[in-house]
Amino acid sequence: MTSAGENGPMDAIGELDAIDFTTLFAAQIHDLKNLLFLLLNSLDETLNNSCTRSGINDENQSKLALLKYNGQLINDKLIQMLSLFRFAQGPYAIDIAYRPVEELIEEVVAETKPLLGARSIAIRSDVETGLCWFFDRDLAAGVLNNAIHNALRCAKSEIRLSACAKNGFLTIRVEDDGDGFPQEILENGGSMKNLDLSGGKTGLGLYFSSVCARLHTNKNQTGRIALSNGGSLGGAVFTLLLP
Amino acid sequence: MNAENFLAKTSRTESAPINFQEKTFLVVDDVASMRSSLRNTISTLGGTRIDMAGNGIEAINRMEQRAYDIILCDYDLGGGKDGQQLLEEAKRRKLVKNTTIFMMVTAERSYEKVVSAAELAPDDYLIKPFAGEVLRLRLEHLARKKTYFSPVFALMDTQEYRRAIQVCDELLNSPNQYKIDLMRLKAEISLLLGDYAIAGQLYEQILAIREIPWARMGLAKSMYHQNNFGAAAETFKQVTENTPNYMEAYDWLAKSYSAAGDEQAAQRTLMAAAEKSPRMLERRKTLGEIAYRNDDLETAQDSYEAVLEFGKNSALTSPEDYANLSRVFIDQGKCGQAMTVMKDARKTFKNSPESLLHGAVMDSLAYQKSGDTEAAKEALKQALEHFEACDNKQGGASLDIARSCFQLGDEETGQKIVADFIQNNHADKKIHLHAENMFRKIGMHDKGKEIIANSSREVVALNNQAVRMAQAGDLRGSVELLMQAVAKYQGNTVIVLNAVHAILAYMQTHGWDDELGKSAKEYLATVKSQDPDNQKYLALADLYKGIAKNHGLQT
Repeated sequence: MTSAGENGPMDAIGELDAIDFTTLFAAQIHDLKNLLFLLLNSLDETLNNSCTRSGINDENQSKLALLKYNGQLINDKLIQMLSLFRFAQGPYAIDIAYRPVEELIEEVVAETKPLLGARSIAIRSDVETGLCWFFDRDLAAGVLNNAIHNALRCAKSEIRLSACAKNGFLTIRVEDDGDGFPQEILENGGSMKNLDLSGGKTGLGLYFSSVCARLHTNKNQTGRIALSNGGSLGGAVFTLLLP
Repeated sequence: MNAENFLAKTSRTESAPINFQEKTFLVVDDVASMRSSLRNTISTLGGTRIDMAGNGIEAINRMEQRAYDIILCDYDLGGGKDGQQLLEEAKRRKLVKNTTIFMMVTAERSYEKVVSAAELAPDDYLIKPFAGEVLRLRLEHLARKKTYFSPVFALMDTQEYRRAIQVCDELLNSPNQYKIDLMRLKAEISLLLGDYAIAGQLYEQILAIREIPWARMGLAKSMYHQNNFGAAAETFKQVTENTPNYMEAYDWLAKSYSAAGDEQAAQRTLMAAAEKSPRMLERRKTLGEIAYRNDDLETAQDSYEAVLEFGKNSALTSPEDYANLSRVFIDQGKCGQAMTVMKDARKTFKNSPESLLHGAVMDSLAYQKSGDTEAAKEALKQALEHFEACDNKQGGASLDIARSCFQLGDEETGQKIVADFIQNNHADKKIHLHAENMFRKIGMHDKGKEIIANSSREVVALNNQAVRMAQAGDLRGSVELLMQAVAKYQGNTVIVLNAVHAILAYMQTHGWDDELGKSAKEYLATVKSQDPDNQKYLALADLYKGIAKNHGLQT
């Protein structure tokens, strides 16, 4: 083996061929998530400090909330990439456990509230009392967070989460009062067809959601997502169905 | 119970808010900025009593000084122990209370962390980044869960397993969100008590509701313990195929193959597992043993070397691990390396009696192999002196010493050492295999088999006679016979526990007897000091407590 740099730049490029980039990227996503955690926490700290010191004006609060929101979007993407990478790597064992659905909804709502800032958007949730189900908490939370973040972009004044058991499926809805999904997303959302890796928007979020849903199987049933417009708020309706 | 009914609504008690100001926190993370960030998050919840640790050793030191209410631990702690190993050590050493919340923090969920036995799993894990509010919610949910399970855990702590099961049953009577956890806990306790059929039924019930890997795994374990090795192997294999990262399944699959007599399949299974997760010391040790018995010296060498390498700077290796590697080198004719390994052992363990014993034995075998009989005899003489001085003659040094004696022509001492070793472990199939293998390697296969059979014959006969007496109704006679046997074979855990069993059976029908009760208690203490996790011991200790309690005695 010769030492690096001895034989000029071509060797350096040749060396790069030897790197297993998929594994490298996965490891880097790890580090990015750690860094993002630090970043978001210092943001919280700043928010808390400025709140106590001088009282915070609406404009600054909105700016900080927007920062947090964008941080969350970055996190959504990291989760999606890392998860899809793991799914692709080989048989992926999901962590199915029997849990209260209320706890899941409570958590995603708690994560969303700081993102609202000064926007007057109400988040309501309606979960059948005592409803428990078998699901993978992290995957389900990833799907719901992605749906809520989409809804936050479009909603005018309200986002509604609801969960119930219907026909052997846990059915969780995320609804908003925006303009609804565009036609092409209604038609292809969540399918490979909608993945456009060359364009700016990849549609990865919906694809990720659909894969996560399908990883949930029980007896002969498989999970899925459904997209529609209308619903109780007249906007976009994202539905996660888990058997 | 059918699945539809099962999924009906359950009652859910509301979480009470936690007063975080009263709680003591420990934050374990190797990165300083991450520690202070976590501390900040805790402060926003109102927590003030927060200690920090930068690695596993520091964390253990902290826990020794103070019992924490809430521990937040990063899974990846740089070099050394990871978060799971830290948790296991803390649990083993009872540094975490039943009420302590242990939360693992990680950037990515790894399946291995999720599927460990409930007993050794963290209470929950949080994936970074997370919001302070989510941490608060999780902690509140966990506190509620801990309160709910506390009566069961308290009984498990005092090893009153039967009563713990009763409490599980009572809790299962009112439907609630924890019923799967309760069924799992009940099944795990049943396995512990040796109620394998009951455990199997519970796992079947869970599987009828939902296919969950740990339940399939539990079912396979119950099959294994009922000596149904073929079905167990098939089921463990199914788990490894459906959830390839469930590492524990490979260990049990290999165990099942071994028990069914297929050592080659056992070795293949462990090799596949070792490749997937190279740092697991116990698995590497087992692989080394099996490969050595299968005469695959190369794999044995690799495995034992990995044990020493990964176990460096941890309390997880012993002089015996060095002896294992040294033995492989001797069989390969690499006598110099064999002796260097033992030199390392003496250095690492600062000339502890055990390291001197193993060192002298392996030296004597290495000298023999290289043809230096005089030096070999001298080393063996030293080894025998260390062996005499050693209290615990359970370890693998016995077989190495015996081998050296046989090879140097001292058949009498060799035979005696093997006989003692076998008599004290007459029911341990693995030890029989090791002994047979040793005899085979020195060309004494048939003679060796005879020695092994003769040595265990007397113990087996005594034991069987006691069992027959008990079955015929002569409980007192059975007790006396087994107590004599204990006096003769003090190191034999099976005999000691059978004596306890007989005493307890006698007292159950004839009432409490102070003298016998005292003996039973002593016997139990002996076994506890040698083999605290012995399942039969746990069950008998539980029974002892029950009987004493029925007679109004404090235990």
